[in-house]
Amino acid sequence: MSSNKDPQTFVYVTFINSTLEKVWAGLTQNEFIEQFWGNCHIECDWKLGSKFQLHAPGGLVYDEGEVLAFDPPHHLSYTFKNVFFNELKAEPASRVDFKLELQDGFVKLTLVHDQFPTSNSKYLRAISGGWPSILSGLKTLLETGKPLPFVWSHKNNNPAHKFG
Amino acid sequence: MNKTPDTVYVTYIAARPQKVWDALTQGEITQQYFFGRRIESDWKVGGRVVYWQADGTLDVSGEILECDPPRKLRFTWTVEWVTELKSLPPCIVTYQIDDLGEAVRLTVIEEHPSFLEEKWLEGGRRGWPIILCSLKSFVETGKPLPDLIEHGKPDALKAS
Repeated sequence: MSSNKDPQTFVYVTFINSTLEKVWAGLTQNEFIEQFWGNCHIECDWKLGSKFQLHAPGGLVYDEGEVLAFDPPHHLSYTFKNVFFNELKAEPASRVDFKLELQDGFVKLTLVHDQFPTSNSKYLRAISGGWPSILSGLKTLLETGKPLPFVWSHKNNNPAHKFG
Repeated sequence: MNKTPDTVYVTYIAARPQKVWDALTQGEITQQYFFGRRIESDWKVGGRVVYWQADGTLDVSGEILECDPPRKLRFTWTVEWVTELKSLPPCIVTYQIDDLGEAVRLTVIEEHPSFLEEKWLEGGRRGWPIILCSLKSFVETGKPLPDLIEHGKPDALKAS
C-alpha cells in the first residue's frame, strides 16, 4: 500500500494460499526466487550479519545488504542498498523486513521497506514499483506452480519496475 | 482541511484484461472473493452501482463516474451502514487494468476528497489487499482465498 502514515516507509501486504514453510522457502531459496524475481538470485548463507547480494543474470550485482533477522518461518530482514544503478547507488542502505503469519489457513505476508535516507528517495520510488510485481509473482508461483509471465521489461510498464 | 492521501494497491495477475474486468464487475464472481459481496450495476456513467452483502443487505452504493471496459472503472463509494461518513463527500474508488501482454497490472485507488480520520482509512488499508489477493487467486486458480466470508466480515471494510 502506498498510503502510510510515514511517506518514507513502503508497506505491501499479500495473502498467499500456501503454508508458512513454502512462503519462507520462496523468499530464501533460489529455486523459487529465480522464478519470480526477474531471473535474479540471492547469494547469502542466511546467518545473522552475513552479506546479502541480489544477482542479476550475467553475474551483475544489483543490490547488497546484511542479514538482520532470520527466524524461519516467521521473520526475515536484511539491509538493502543498490550498488548498480547510477541514480540509486549513491543512497545509503535501507531496510527490508518480511513478517509471515498464518491466518485462517493461508499466509499473510507483510513487507515493510523503510529507513530511506532522504525526503525524496529515488530508491524508495524504484522499490515501490518493484515489490508489487515481485510479490505478485511469488503468490502466483506458490499457488499455481507456474511463474507469473515476466512483466518488468514490457514497454507499457513503469521503468522503475526493473529495480528490485 | 487537507485531502487525505489516497490508498493504492497494485497487484499483477496472469490473465487477460477481460477476465479481470469480469471478476470486478460480475456479481456471481465478486461474491466468491469479496467477503461474499455481490456487485450490481447497469454500468452506465451516471448509473448506480451497489455491493450487496451475503445476507442480502445493502453494503456499498455509488454512482458510476467512468466505465471503460476492460480498462477502467471509477465510481463513488458510500458505505451504507456507517452513518458518520454519510455527511462527507463520498469516497471514490478506481479499478484500473493495464494490459502487459501475458499479465495485467490491476491498480485500485481509494480517494477521499476531504480529510478523514485515520480510523476510517484502516478498513480500506486492511481490506483491499485481502480482497485483491483473493481476486487474483480466483482468476489464476479458479478458487478464492479460503473462508473469507467467515473471517472477513464487514469490519475489514469499515473505512472504505
